[in-house]
Amino acid sequence: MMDIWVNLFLIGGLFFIFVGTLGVLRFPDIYCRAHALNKAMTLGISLLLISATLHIGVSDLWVKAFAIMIFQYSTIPLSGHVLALTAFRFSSK
Amino acid sequence: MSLLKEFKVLAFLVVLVTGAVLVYAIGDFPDWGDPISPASEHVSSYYIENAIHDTAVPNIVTALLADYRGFDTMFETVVVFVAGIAVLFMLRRPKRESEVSMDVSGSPIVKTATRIMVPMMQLFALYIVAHGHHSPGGGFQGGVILGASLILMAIAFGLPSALKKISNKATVMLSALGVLIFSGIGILCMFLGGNFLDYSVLSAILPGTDRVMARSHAMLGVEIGVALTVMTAMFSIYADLASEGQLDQGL
Repeated sequence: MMDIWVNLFLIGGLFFIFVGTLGVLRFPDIYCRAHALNKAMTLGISLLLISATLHIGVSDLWVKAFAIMIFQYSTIPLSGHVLALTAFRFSSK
Repeated sequence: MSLLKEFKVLAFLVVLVTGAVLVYAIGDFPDWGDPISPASEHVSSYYIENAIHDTAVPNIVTALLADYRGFDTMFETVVVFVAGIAVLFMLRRPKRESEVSMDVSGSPIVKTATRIMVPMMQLFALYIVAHGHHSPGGGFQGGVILGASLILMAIAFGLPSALKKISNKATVMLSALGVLIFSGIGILCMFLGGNFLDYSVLSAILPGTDRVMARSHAMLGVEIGVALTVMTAMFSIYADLASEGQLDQGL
């Protein structure tokens, strides 16, 4: 039963990461690309982490995975913000 | 042909010949993962069997790098130190004449996030340095994270404000201090009657340790030296590259 959930989260995470990288390749300008990368990557990485922790079962790795997720949620949007802001500043000059 | 151009041609020839000799020497190596190569037959099995009894360090990689091959690691640290000094010598220039003011510091969001993240990064780096015996990590890895935290500070708040926290003089001094700690522990071993970097004789001056635990504790001291050198060399190289050797502005 648990294997189904593990695979479901794994496939979901891989799907979102794939969509994010596809967006980086296919979208026309840097704002769209940053948007695709940040949104899809945040969700994809957290789904992959959930899948990994479910696969391992009950252990202290849950805490580490949770900490990783917190850091991802705080740093990925930050990098997207910096990317878009820098692009905006350079294009408006 | 100017002198500089001749010098460049000469340097290129030296590099080419040295590279050719090195490539030629590859032919004498044993095959990758060859089970009957000398390294696999003798030393590897010895390390795997005896590292925990010799040094009381569960992480064999750390025991290897910091103890059995301490001499090698000491000169790796020296290489990092020399790299930082070399970049300093090549790029450092007197101050610019014209004051070109350029606001490159980050947005308030970046500054706030940096203020939260830098202490966590430094705490995690100290954990990696101190816990390198038991889990993956050690002086080089922890030093790189410490250096990255300093670089992040320089990116978010601008280089001058980061240099106010840790001045250029302090950077170079700490970089040298790291090498001094490493080689000083080695020389201390010689004063106590052992070989250079033979940590087990340190049990005479470390209270409450036997010859095995002394090796474990001395490895921690050595890792701290490595971390100091790597951290400051990273930051020094970054500061010189970002400001074109002027240390007045830049990211």
